[in-house]
Amino acid sequence: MIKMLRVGYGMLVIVMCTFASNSQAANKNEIIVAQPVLRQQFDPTALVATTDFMPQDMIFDGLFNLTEDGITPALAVSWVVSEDGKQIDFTLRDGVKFHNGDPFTAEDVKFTLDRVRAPDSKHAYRKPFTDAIKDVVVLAPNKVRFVLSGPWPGYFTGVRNATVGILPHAYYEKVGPEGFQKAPIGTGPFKLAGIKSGEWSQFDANDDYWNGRPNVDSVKKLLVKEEFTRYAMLANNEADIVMGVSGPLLDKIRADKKARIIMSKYSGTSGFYFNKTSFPESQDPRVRLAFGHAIDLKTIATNILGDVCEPAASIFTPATFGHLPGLDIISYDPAKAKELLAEAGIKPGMELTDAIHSASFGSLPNAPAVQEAIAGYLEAVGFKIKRESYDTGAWLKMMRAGKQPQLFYGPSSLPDDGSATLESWFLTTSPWSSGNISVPEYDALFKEQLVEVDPEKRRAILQGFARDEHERHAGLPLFWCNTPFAVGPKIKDWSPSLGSGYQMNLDQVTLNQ
Amino acid sequence: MSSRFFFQRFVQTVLTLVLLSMVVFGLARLSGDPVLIMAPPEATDAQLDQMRAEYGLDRPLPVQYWRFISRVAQGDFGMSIKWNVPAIDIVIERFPATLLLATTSILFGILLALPVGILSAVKRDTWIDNFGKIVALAGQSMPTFWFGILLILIFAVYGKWLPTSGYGTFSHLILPSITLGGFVAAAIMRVTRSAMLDALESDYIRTARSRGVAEWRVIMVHALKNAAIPIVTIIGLQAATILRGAVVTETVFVWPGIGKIAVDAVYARDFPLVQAAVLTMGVVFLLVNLIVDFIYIYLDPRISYQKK
Repeated sequence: MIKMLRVGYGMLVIVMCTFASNSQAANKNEIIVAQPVLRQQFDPTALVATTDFMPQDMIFDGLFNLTEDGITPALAVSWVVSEDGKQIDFTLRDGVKFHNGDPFTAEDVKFTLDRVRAPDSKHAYRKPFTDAIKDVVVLAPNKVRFVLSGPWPGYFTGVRNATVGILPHAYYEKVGPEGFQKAPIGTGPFKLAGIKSGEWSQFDANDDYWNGRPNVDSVKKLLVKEEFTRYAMLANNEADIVMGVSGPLLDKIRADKKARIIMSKYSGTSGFYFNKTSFPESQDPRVRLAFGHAIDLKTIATNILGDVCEPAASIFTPATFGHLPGLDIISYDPAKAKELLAEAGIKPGMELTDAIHSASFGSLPNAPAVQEAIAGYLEAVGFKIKRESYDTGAWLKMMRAGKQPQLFYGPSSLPDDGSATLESWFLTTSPWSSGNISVPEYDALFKEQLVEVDPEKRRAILQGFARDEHERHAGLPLFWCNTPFAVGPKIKDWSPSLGSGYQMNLDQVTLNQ
Repeated sequence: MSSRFFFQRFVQTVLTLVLLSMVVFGLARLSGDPVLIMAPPEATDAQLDQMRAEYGLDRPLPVQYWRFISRVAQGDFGMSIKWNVPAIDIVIERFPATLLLATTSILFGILLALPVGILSAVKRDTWIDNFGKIVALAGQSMPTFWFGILLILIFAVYGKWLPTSGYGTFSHLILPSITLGGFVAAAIMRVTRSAMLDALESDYIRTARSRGVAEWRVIMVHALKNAAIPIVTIIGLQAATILRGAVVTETVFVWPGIGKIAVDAVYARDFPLVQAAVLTMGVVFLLVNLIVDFIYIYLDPRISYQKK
């Protein structure tokens, strides 16, 4: 046994000596981003989820960008929409090169859009493209035309549509989809320098970027699942940007003089919905309003969500195309809630089941604690609430099957264009509300805005929905949420994209010397 | 040790692996349909069916299992659904990191537990013994993730002596090894103490002492060698604990091992990766058990695996 102990000590020493020194510490101009989600799907025409924007935003450019200042040109410098709205002619930026030196041309735009619309396309949000685009025609090396089957005004306001990264036609054809996934190239501010599946992705600055070389030499995005570890990495200067912090850790970061919080504003919105079959009493508007009065959203936003979210006056955030300013939030008034419930004939003690998605990212951080708080408020006005919490797979399965319980929470991340939220939740055919909201006026408004080519008229139509819904409360708006990023002392200035925590604009980061 | 023994153990190992593959295959599918996570919200039933067909998930379970096991026999676990690379490549790439962490953790556990366990038995009912018992109790009771977070807080965030997480240098190895090794040390410590107490009360120990053998030799040679079998058994069993604990420890410390990727694969319903990771861990565990069997024979030649 003594021999074994000696062997044990010896082995430990050998391991210590042979474990190669390979420090992960960042160099001066490298930034490390610790994030709870890491996506390594690099082909923009095979987008699986909106989180795929996180790596694709680094490598690729779309034709234009959606920013706080509205639409700004990217690979397209200008565009003209025909009077009938059935043609869009783009003039493309000259002198842009892909990471391998190939010039960017109209052929690349056509190739990309054709791949998105192809019958075997794997692009998760291909439907709007296949429905709207009949053909993409190359007019000149720097001019391309979208021939549409009808007006598609939502193209210019929806991130999923507008920011599709443009592929290099010749290179993609040469290496094929698998080769491209291994070595993707685009026109974007960073080049992929290396990956370890499920661990990290490293990007190096593109020296020839058409919009100016990024200020940082490289960016390493690390998958760090555990929230406390992400916080500790920031506190120990092992990470410069940390994504996904909530609860007490937010307070600790705010109290830390070396760190600060930067928000990607209005990256999520959420609502509370009712199953009209299993909870028919909810079809009485007084009942829905009573739910609104019963829940103290402000207290939840402050105490549980760390002021990352704010009470919502509408399902459209202030950054959503179609937002109607000036709507008031339903006041917290439990006495009024009880009064309305009594008027509607609901007796205290009614049992209801409330379902929430436990891992909704961006649209409602700390969802389980929020569910608990909401259930507590509803119990205070007389309901008995059974809480059901679902992970992503179970949540999607339940929603797709239309088996929502009496009360269900509805998140919506990337709330960029009101029509997308309207289509997902408020139409008779909406996939997420499964027919529980059936308001003919909303269906008509949706169809009307689909063909309205004047952006201001279209905005007015969507604002009309927001106004109607504020009166009707088919769903109750809960919170407008931002995505908080904790940043360390190395970062001098940075503004992540409005309305999307996934498009991080890391090329615009400036560093303290 | 005869060739018959080797053959028997080999057959047992293969049968266990086949059973394990069935369990892993079945449990992975019980977790739900991966297509439901991968498909966009507006995907129609036809599109969902098309995706299932692409991954072979539309076929009957026995057919899927046969396809799976016959490919596994050729080293092909299929493509990882989430990472889009061969699942076995991901596991092989991570295996050295898990092996390194497991080795240092078990070594740390043994080197901590044996001296404390022996000392506890020798100094029975003294403050040293009580201290050892408290350490063992605390080690067994503390959840691994909590202990890990505590270590990060003390040694990285406040002390700035060690990195919080990551991989690459010896300093990155210290905290995860202590976290994982501390947990197994507690169990080894308890068994060592109890086995040593039994041994120290034996007749041959009294005889050795009456012959004037030095006390350290009585303890470390006579008693410890005779107490070794339960200690080796518990060390062998701790291999499973190490592999289980690695799942949590690797996640907390961002250690690029099999456990961390397996957790992610379970949440993503990445069947090929879950299967590759669990079966690899199963093979390792069976190998450790086999080694423990051999050590038994070395420690006590009276043990035989041959039929009388």
